Amino acid sequence: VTPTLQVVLIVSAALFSAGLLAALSRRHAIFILIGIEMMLGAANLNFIAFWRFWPSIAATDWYYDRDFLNRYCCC
Amino acid sequence: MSSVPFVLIAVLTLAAALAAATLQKLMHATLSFALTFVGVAALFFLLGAEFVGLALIFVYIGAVAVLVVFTILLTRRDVGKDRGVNWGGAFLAVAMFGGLTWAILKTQSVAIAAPHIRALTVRRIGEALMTSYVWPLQCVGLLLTAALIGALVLVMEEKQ
Repeated sequence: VTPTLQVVLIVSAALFSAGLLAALSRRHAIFILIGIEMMLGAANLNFIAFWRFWPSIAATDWYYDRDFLNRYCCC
Repeated sequence: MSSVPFVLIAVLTLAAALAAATLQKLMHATLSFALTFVGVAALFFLLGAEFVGLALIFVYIGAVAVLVVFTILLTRRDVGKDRGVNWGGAFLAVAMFGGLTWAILKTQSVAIAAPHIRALTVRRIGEALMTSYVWPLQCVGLLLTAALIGALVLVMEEKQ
């Protein structure tokens, strides 16, 4: 099977939960910092996954396409 | 995107993340944290975002992890073992993972395979930053300059 977006999102959710576990169950400040950094890494993984798997964004030079920007990016 | 490297890297990343969350010694947890970010950067490479993966390696493994290690080594006094596990936090993390997994599996529109894309080169990122995103780029540059000047002002006031 090829990995779908679901699989990447579940990996990211597991990474987020591990960070949450580290941030909530530890008492030392550096442990809590490490947990927060892991949660931020999971969020970045989500961003990259949605960029890679969404069909019309990664395939084209969409930032040149005014119609696309008006439709999806409201800028 | 191929399956076997993805599964290997994902398992390695999650094992390192769990080790970083549960190991008792602070130094072991920090090294596991660095390994976690190596795995996340490898996932970024696998997903085709080379620039973000390189930035992650430079910033996290090169700066943040080394900074944490130096902080531990320089302030060794009360860095011992962490006391016990807070079971409420563990339960909350497991509940969060279960809820997120349920929501992801329930959403049908994310069950898609990766489309074929053009390679994302640094040249394309630069073109996007210099055309459509020139105002956000300038705002971030202004923010960084303000932070730099603020740091300089703080240091100068401390010397007096």
